[in-house]
Amino acid sequence: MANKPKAKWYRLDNSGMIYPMVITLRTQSLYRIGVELKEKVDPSYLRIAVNSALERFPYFKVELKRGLFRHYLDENNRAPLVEEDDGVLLKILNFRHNRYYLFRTTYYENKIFIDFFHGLCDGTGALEFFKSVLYYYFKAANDPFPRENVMTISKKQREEETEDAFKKYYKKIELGKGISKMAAGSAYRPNGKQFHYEGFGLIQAEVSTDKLLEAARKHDCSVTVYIAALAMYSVALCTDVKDVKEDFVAFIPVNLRKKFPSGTMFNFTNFAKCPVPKETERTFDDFIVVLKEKLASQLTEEELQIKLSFSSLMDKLPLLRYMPLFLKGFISRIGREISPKSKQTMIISNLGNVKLEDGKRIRNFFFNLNCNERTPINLGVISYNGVTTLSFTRKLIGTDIEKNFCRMLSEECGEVKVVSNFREENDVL
Amino acid sequence: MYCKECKVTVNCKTDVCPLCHGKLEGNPENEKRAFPEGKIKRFQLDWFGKIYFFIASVITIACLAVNLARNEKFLWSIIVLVSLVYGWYCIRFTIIAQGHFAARIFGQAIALTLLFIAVRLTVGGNHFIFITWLPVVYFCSEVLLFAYIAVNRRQARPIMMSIAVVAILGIIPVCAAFILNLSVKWPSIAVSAFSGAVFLTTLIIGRKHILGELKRYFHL
Repeated sequence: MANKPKAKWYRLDNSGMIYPMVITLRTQSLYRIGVELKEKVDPSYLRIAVNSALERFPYFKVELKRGLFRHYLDENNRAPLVEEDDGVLLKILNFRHNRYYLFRTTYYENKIFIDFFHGLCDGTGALEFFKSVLYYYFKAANDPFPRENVMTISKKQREEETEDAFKKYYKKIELGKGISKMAAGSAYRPNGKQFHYEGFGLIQAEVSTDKLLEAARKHDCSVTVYIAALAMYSVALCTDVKDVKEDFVAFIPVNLRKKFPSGTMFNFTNFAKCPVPKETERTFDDFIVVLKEKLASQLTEEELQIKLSFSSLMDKLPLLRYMPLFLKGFISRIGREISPKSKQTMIISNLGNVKLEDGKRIRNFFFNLNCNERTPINLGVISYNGVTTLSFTRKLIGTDIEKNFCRMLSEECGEVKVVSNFREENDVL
Repeated sequence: MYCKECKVTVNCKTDVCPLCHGKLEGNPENEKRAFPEGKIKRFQLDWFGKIYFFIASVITIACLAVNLARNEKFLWSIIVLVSLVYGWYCIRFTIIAQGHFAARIFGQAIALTLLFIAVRLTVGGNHFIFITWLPVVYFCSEVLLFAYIAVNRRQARPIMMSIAVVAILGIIPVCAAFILNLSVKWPSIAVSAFSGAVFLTTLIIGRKHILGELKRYFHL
């Protein structure tokens, strides 16, 4: 009789351990990666696909548990749940209903969605898992595509996929330096009535990637800077100069793997905080200039090293390392409550270009971030097969920011296609 | 469909632009909904905490006021406060909690232990808690945990630790029986003996599982 393999458990990485501590009954750190297929989704194939992908990604076949000092990920023997989407975007994960998995797989018509809890992995790890699910989905449907750029069961799991890259690249820093870098002043918060109940509003815009690149080149900046400037400028257009007391701050997640090579599938990102001072001239070009300079200054190796090391302090400082978990969680929540001001105006996250099959089976990808009362609108960007999809998720009922954004985008980049979930239709008291 | 104001194409079933809410050109019947219509729940769970806190505060203040106004030696209002705290724990961490069944049983065993000790310290003298209530709590907890393992053998590993800890708590009644010199000792002795047997059985059958759980719990 073969020996049963030893049950595995994984430590949460230094960034991931924050997210479980700040879970409340109403909020969790979730994000969604989705795909629109050219055919209607078959749930039986999807179930097979998720199970197969979990064989390749055993560190995602886990549940969250509480230790004395920190949370950890323990093996989960249950079959993952795959069900039809109920239309409530980024609804909080009901762990019990979801069989304790830290991701949720749903489908609607020809779309597949996977909502990930940020404590498990960042967008890079999530995207690799999602690509694997798609590969096995089409394989189950007897319509496989080439497995280049896909992590499959045939490709052996590497040890670095579960490493804590924050720990690997940690260097001792001056605490004061770290605090000054990470301490965020307050940011302008987009105003307006917010949805009372669960779920968020969604507006998704599709534009040609080439046209977007061309527009960014015309303004002598990268696509990320271009999109961030467009987003901040769209917010600024909704305000009166005299009413704005704080800067417009764009938080841009940075994939640390580019500067600090790591194959980890867990979290390994940090944020570049890019403020546009409130005194900045209200022109799009001025916004681009400011953001380009701010982002460049945040992406140096020295800056990223300081932030990376500061993020690892929870594990390095004995006081924090050996503080009981319930106390850490209590302090984290109190910290959030006593600082009611927003730290960023908007989070703008760009997952980049997805390299996968050639568009015969898949129409496009999309990427949604969740938001909250303090940061009521965020933007997720992803590109596939020559199309860039920009998804605004909002807690605001109004759509002025998206309107300004899409109007400018269509002027600069030509045809823009828009879809929405019309969440505002459901928020009747 | 097309919005002339926003200069965008709208690819979902609607007759108004999602951006400016103006009229669209085109026939919405040719389109499908891009996303399902949301089944929004109107009650949010976090409202419960605020409502309960308000009601509990009112009750506690009222009881304390009456207790002190009547100049009573016995501070029964403290029992009211402790019971309200236990009530919140029951609802928040047992009924609506998303934790495992075993974790909720374990949590209840600890919570009831603390509740009964608090009552005992307030009321004083009454040893009924150690003669009957605590032994019943531990006995029922251990039986429920074993029943859960019998039904869900695949989940046995993480539960071994909970059983072992509850079994250790089962020593409390027999210690109390001898320290406080209770008039009736047999329920405490019986439950403690049962807990001891449970503890030894768990150690023998699940030693590796318990060690594994300890490594995870303390991040060793």
